[in-house]
Amino acid sequence: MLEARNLSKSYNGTAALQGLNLLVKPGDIFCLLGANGAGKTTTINLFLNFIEPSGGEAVIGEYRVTDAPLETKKLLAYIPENLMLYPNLTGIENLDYFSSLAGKKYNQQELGKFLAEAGLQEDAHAKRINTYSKGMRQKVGIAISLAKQAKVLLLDEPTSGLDPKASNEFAALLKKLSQQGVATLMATHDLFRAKETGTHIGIMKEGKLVETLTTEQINHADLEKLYLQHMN
Amino acid sequence: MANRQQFKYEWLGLLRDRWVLILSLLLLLVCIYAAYNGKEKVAERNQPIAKAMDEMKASDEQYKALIDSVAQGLKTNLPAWQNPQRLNVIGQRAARVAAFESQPLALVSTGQSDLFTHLVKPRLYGEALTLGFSELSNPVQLLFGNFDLAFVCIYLLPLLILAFSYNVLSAEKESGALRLTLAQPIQVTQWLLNKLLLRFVVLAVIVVIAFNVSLMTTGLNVVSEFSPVMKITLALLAYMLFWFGLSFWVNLRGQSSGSNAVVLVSLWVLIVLLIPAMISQLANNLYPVPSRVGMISELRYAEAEAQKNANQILESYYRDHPELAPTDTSAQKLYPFWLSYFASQDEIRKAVNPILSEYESQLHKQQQTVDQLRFLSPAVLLQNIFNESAGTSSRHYNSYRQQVVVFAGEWKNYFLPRMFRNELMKKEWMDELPHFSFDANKIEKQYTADVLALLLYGFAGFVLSFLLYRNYVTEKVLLT
Repeated sequence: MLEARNLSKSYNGTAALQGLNLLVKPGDIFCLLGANGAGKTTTINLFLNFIEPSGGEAVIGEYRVTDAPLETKKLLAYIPENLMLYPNLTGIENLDYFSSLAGKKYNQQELGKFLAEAGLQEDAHAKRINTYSKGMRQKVGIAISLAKQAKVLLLDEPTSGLDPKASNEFAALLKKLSQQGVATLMATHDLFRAKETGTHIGIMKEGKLVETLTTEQINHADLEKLYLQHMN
Repeated sequence: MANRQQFKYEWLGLLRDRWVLILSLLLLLVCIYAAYNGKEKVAERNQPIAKAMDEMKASDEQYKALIDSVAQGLKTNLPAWQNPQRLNVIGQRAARVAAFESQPLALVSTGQSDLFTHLVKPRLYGEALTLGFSELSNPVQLLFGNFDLAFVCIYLLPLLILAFSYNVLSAEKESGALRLTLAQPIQVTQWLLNKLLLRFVVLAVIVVIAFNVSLMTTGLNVVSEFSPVMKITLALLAYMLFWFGLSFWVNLRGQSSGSNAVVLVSLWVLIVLLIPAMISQLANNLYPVPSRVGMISELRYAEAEAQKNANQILESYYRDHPELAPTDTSAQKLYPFWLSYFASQDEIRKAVNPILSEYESQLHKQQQTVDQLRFLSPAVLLQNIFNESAGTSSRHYNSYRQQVVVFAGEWKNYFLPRMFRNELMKKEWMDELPHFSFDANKIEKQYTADVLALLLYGFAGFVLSFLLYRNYVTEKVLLT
């Protein structure tokens, strides 16, 4: 579903990503770990076509991202670290707006259902976004991906700054989506959450994917050990 | 469908933004004030005209009565040199008012009206008429000093448009919402265009309402002036489109809000202030108007020379105009001084004619240069449209001056043959004296060319930006 083939990106000769190869299949939750500047966000930006690759290709579904950016964007949903919406509009209006940009049209009831499914409490649906907490905004983001019927989820440190309860709810949502066949690529610093929710883990260092493993292969303690081993 | 939803939520967002409401109300108030101001100016212009007209009517009645009394041999308390039966007295003292009355839309643009006179009384003798019109040397005057509707639309409206649109893209980039937007399957150029189009439509509605409401508050009948008001409105929309197009381009450059604001304000200064000033300066440098002082002194010299030779002049004048020569030389007693005076005036006119026509042709060339250069700035084009609709353009004043000169000739030609025929003024002639009325149809219309050029400017910004950024790389927008 989501594939990087020898994907590279360099800025003025400095490599931010070197020869990345990875495959995320439907139902997989692939967690990218690594220090700041290891190339996690660059990878996600390349899948979003926000930046041009210097080499290799990013593929979503059957399309290369650079060839068919609009087609690939129909398939994916994106939740950045700090999801910003239109503060003047309510949660349900934001959802309607963004899903219409994605070419979907729903009635109020359906929109409300998506928000509820994403775990947003009912009384917040008609409140303006400027009254929302970060966790609530992330839930609208999830609702957008539900409404969009995304096959691919790109998450850039989505749980950073969330309280443990919100973080836990978020993880549960991801698992649910995964069961529905959504392929997820998530950059994160949260080793615990990666082990708990992820199906695969990749460790990145200085633009390279230095380790790939499935979460079943490793326990919490070993994952931390392995991670630190790479960082030092 | 995506577009419709986008318009809907953009509109909701604007509606919930208090600033939009505040700015709209402010614009309405400013327009009403400007229209009121314009109306005051028009009143200042028309009051002296109305007064002079009333005075003229009163004095006409008085002269009729006096002529009657004198004809019946009654005694009047007038000195002999003011005898109303004398044609030269009437030609001088009962001069007609040649007025340039304001046109219905004069209040929208003061234009040149505070520089020129609107009221002249061409008399039988005295200074040559061409000199009686205050400042002639600067037909351009692209200084928009007055707070009228033209000023609001040309100067302030672009600032409002820029305030409305300078950060449409950058604000979302800075807040972070743009990342989510660009993750959707949309063309960023199209998406931005939609945003600006909606703002254009909203502001256009506000401006058209404010403009018309402010005109109505002055008591102007917008319905009977429908056509000129519509013409201005169309030009105004094209002008607004131009500024939105400019803003579209600057937004697409993907810089920060601050940088956008600086670029747009600089462009505003260039288009609204610098280019008009440059046009004016250029016209003055290329075709400087000859000195008026020089002209006057040459005129005085010619006058003195002519005065010296008055007698010979009269003889040669009779040779040139045998039809005016008295058949009975002993009968020419009523106007001996005046007849030689007019003959000498004729000489003077001939002597100063080259100076005057040089002056006129320089003025004409200057005006032509300005006419051509006006296409350099949409602001000048719109000012030209406003002035033309208001009847306050340089062309109007030049035409008025020329029409008055022609009328002065008519006035003279009414009296002169009668004086040469040795006649006295009759009461009934008072009603058949030539009178002046300003003919606005003699003025060249530039509206069509102006509005087409404005529309071209309006669409050019959008089309060029669209072509330039069709394959816009989002990398630049997001990561710079």
